[in-house]
Amino acid sequence: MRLSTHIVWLELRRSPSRLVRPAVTLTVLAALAMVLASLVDTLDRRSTGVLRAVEADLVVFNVEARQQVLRSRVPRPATIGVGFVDGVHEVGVLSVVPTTVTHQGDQLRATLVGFNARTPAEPVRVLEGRVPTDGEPNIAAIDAALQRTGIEVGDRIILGGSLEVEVVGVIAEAMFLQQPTVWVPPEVWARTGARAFPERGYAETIVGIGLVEVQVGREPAEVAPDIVTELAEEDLDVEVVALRDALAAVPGVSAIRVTFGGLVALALGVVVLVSAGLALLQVDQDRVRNAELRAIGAGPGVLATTLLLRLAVTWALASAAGAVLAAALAAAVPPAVPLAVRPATLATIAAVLGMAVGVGGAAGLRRVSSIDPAEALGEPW
Amino acid sequence: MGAVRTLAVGQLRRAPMRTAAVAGVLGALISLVVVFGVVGDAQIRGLSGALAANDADLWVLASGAQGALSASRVEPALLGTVSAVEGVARVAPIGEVSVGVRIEGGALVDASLWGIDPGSPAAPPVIDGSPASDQDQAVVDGADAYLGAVPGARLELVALPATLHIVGLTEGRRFASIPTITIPYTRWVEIVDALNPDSDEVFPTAFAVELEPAADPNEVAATISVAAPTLVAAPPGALAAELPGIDGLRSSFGTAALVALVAVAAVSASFPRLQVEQELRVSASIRAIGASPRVLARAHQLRVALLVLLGAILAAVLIGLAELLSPPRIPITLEVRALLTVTLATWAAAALAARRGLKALRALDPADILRAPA
Amino acid sequence: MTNGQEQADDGVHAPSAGPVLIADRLRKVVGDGALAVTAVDEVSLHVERGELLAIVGPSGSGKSTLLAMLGALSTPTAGTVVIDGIYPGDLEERDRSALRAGRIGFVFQRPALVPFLTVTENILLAGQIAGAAEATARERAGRLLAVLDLGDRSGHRPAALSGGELQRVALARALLNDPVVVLADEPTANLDAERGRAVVALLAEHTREEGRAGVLVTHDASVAAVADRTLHLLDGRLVEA
Repeated sequence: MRLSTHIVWLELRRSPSRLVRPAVTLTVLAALAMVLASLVDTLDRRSTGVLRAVEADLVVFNVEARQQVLRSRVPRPATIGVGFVDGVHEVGVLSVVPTTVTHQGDQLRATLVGFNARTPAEPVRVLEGRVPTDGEPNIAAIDAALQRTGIEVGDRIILGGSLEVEVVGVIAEAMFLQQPTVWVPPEVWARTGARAFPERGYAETIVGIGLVEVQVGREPAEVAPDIVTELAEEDLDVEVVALRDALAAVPGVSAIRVTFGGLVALALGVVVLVSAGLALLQVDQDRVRNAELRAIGAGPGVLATTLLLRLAVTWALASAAGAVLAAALAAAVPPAVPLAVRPATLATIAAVLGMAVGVGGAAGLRRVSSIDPAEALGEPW
Repeated sequence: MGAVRTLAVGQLRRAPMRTAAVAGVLGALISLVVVFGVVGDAQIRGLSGALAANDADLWVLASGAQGALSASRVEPALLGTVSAVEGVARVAPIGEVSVGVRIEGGALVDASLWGIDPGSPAAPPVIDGSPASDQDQAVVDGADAYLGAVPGARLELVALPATLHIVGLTEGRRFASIPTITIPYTRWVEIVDALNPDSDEVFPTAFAVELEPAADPNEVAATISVAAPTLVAAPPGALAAELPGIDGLRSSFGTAALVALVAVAAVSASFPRLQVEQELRVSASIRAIGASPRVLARAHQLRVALLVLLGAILAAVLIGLAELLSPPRIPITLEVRALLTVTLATWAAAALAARRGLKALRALDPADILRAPA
Repeated sequence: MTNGQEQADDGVHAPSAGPVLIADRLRKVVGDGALAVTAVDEVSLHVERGELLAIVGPSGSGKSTLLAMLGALSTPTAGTVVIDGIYPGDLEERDRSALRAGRIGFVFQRPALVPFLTVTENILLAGQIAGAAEATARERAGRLLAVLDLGDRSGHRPAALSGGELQRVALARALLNDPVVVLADEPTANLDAERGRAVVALLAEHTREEGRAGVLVTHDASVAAVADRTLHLLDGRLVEA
């Protein structure tokens, strides 16, 4: 190991091009995998941001809604009943409806979110100002994505073409189905929805979903059936799922995950092939020299370790450069492109790339380990 | 040409592992770029196909919906206003709502239920069977056959005691990434009314407009907005492109395909160069026995072209396999045109990169072979 | 180990009396079935301490194949090799590597030195592979560089050296671990006559003065003349001159 490290270190210092050149090839692929993973991550987060913005354990839908937040309709009194279920710490309601936001003459698509303040439905990360509480019909909070369009705290905006409210706060990005969000008390949601969708019968006695926080020490999965039973007694068929499952049920999310997940897997498959190709070319390139080292007593392990270290250096260079490229691309593209780079995503892809390089490099390892020292004499046997 | 071919093919055959590795890498990358395009198009069609796949000249939505079909509700009374606009030949209502359905008693799925009369300007072309003209008839999209949605199958709307029978198939008509079911408009109104017992009236989602032969769609669209300020009209293709989420998805696939193309160029450029460097000594010996630099260069270019060709063949096999093995929700198909385009782009990148290697080949001194290697 | 042989990595090496390198009825068959070729056939030889043996033969006569077996690079189809009392045929690959590193020095026809290491580092690499103490290896490398007239080239990379200098670096690398056997495969093949003679003279000098057993494979009778004894190989068999 020491000898191999010494050789690779000197190679990196004195002949960096021998390592940098394959690293450049791998860098582009690393950047590709990182961009793909960041795209799926961003698309996912921009579809599910509303549910990610809150801190709840369980989500209550009416059965007909089939776990769709947009379609779910739960009578408000029923959600009060949930609060009495054993194991439930707190319950809040959250409802969404597509709307438009007009600001200084410009109209934008957005999602209106009605929520109960000071309950599990309240967004956790408030960046500026505050969020409205129940009974404050003329104010709203916006998410950071809407703020990026130029709306600031103190501005007045028009919701759904008719309801004017004042922006009093900004919360962290909490987009829903790729639209920025405006957070208002539930009654504002009901009023706006009734105007936009007359057939749906929006009313202040109806809410979208219930968000439940269970008591400390209780398992959400244990509490969920009790909520279903409690509401069934009130003649209401509901479905209670973990927040994570509700995220996956948001329209388009599972398609995005499956499609882009498949493409990321394909890109990683290419990394395996490229690593194998690079490792094989390197082994072929150094074959005579390696045979000579074998002849003068180096064991196959020394050659294999050296190749492994070279691959590791190539991977490290490619991962670092790929991350920089992905971050640079994310900074360069317009905000409409759903490409936000998170360190956790980059680190995960770098780790998976490392495994892919290892798998691909295994082909080279087998080949370098089987180099016959007699080849140093020009004999094939 | 004989020497060129012998050298190029000989070099490929001499190191089959290396040839396989390089062709494998090129094949995988070519297939990646092609799949990006195919899947991206399919995803976008899956989100907006129902808007794009019809013969209407214009669709009229509520202006406040900002192009989001699900947010659009148009006053039924405005149908007459639109009909009266000069250049408009026919107008018909369109309805859209998401419902839960059970196909032939199977799993419960979300579907987009469309109310469009068979004679409507927006009636989808039926490729198999007949249009839905009776109250219990429906047409579905051929892409959903894997769910059991085929002519003759039964559809049950879970929220209602309503059963529909599939009588025909459409093509490329998915919406919001879920299956579409098209029924007569009046039946759609009945269903939506039953789904919303508290509602007083069911509004159409949009109007479909067929224009007089000589009418200019842009002019008519502008006139409609003037005649009814709460409405906005646009060709269905333009509306499909403006649907929420389409832009993000298109730019996502575009960005990914662009980065993948750069990756193809980088990889297809680096491997030939590495090979040229590896074989400088062999090349020197070939120069020493009288081969001109031009022969070496042409042999190298031929080898690059053969490697890309091998890669393209492998890519076709890989995509074919993916088509067979991928789940129906990832609609991968082998599109020959896309494959050819990407292959040509790859070959161009590789050939361009090979030119740098050729400089080294041209600069080779045949006497190098007499010198001891370092 | 059977037959009372010493282990290659025993760490204690007691000089054995008699020949240091013995080959007994060596045979090497290459290929299978109808394509099988006997590259070396019934070759027996021995080399004493301080003796330089030349093996001469035309191209394709089996010289390199024989040298590969004498240097524990390949195993014979039949027959045995004994190096300093050790039977490499009985050793595991790992021990054979250790045997080559510690007791055999190789000089190849075209030394493939590591291009990004300096002359000194290339020589020291042999010591690192053998696990030699660094200080001792450095001291010995310095001496060898001086003796082989490479003192002013110690910091250069292989690409900056002439063919003769490269061969002298290869000789220094071969001698670094104080091997009991030095094997040279056509060391003059890529050198002009004057440089070739100089390299072989150095090889002969170091073999005799340090009491090693040397084997020099060449097709050039004038080069073989430097050796103490010459064997002729033709079609894999030893023949009278």
